Amino acid sequence: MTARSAATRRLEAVLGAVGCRGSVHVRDLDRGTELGLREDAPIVLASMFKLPLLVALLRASDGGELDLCAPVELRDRTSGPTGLAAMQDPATMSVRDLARSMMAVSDNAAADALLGLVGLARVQATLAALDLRETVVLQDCADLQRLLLEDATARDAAQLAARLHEDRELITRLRVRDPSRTNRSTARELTRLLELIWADQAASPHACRLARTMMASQVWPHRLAAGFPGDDWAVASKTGTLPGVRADAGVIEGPPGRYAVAVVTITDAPASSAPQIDGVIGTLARISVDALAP
Amino acid sequence: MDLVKHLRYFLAVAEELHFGRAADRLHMAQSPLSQRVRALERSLGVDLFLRTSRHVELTDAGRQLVGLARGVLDSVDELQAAMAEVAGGGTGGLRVAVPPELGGAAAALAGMLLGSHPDVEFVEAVSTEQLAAITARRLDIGIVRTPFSGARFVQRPRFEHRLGVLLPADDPLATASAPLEAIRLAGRDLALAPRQWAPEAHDEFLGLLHAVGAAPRAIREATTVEFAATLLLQGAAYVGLPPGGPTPAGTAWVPLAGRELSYRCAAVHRRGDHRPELEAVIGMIEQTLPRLGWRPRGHPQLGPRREQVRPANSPLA
Repeated sequence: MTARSAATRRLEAVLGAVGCRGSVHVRDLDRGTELGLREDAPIVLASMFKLPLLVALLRASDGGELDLCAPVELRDRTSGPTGLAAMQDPATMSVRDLARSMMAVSDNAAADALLGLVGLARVQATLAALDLRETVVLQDCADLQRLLLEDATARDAAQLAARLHEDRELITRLRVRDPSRTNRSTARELTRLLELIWADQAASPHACRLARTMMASQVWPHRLAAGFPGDDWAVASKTGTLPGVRADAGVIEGPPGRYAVAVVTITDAPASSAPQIDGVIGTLARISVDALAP
Repeated sequence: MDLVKHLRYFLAVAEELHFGRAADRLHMAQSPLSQRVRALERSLGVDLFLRTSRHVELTDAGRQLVGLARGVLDSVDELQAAMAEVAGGGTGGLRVAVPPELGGAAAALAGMLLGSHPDVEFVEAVSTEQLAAITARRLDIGIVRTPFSGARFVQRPRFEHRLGVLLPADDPLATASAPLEAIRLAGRDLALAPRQWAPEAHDEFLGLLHAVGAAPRAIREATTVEFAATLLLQGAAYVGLPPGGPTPAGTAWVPLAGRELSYRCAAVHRRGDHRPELEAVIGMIEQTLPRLGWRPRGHPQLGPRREQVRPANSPLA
């Protein structure tokens, strides 16, 4: 058995031990080597769609069509647990500050406001220009929430959680978990997008640097970052979460080099709290990086 | 129109999203199945499916009907089973299940119950099977590991018991006189009961270990303490309920510290089952388990698990 197939067997075993299936892809950004598990399988993006949105936004700024410092007034904003989405009163913020909130705390209101400015067509054009043919963004956060609440016949997030526990099959019927009906990509295309950002090719060098900085400000330390503790490693990533879907995609830099990593885990268990799965995302990334490291 | 029958046809197609496969499942030909689904659509005044040349998908109305139809059919099944039980004069004794991990406590519980209820029938089954059996009315009371998902169950009474760690007798941690902090097990291989026995409880336990910084290196499965002892030879530690008798040769048992890390269970019965003999047995369980070292936990729980959703775990986080 080669070291690589031994690594993918370990990835499967680690996923199985926490009752999950999923996809992993890792790219060594300097040596070009890769490792993956179902890396071309369609996956739902959840909040990771905010990453291609960010790139489309920055390219629009590069082209002079959007001013990153322009103020945006937030009205009728999408709700959510973090950032402006969780706040109550009228607010005006610059485009770049909204982008920062979107990437640092996955702010749904910021994301939907920015998508309103950029437009789905421009996001799709960006993906086409970057040759990411399996990546599609169709819905914003408000759409995703509506689909979730409709499918669960729930009024709000608390009722959604309760419904998922009452009806154990409900989680398997959610449209937002079906890649063919929602924002989707593959683990391989996610690491490709990251590769382009880290190589200053996804947009202008200045814009790419801004994207990297914003990704490094993400607050959740419990997924990819959990696999790379200590001062030796820097992690910049974007999480994605849906019922039973926990994902993180980003770049890890440390002593052996720089690695773009995308991990998506899927379980049919309805619990919203699963620190063991969050931690496993870090473990899967670490196993893969260690397998590629010289 | 026999609405119930037509709802069964509809659900089969909704689950398969393919008329041919649904027809096979129902042991009928495709054409009559299609006709019956159309008849249901006409009767309800809505389209339930979008049929293209390549595939079948549910309309919004169809999607809504899926949940409603399942509810109706569950109620119909329950109604028929209840009446069948009455017609058949009941089963005589109540059926009570205990999970395999209960070990010695199962025999002690049985001994005390059978004293006053000699026709109680005891079975051994894992938690997930017990829940299915209670729903299908093949079981009256289950001792089920919690938490678990699923509606229409009553958890009363609820209990917890300290877990312990089985270690090689010469392991440095084996000589601990106080309960062992979970964090001392971090990075070791851990042997546990199979996840399939009680998946939500297993996941919650693993989640708690991670949350307190005690994430294991790998998980091994052991259905008995005896088999777990063999895994100890490979460096694993086994976490479970204390064995009823002496531990296997060469091993030692140390209690695990931390209230959240207890083994939690409940006596579970079907919501709506108010038979007096059930109440009597539940009352006995409530009195007996504390005498066997089980600590009562809070109030009874009607219905499924209630979770606090934290921002980092919310959809779209």
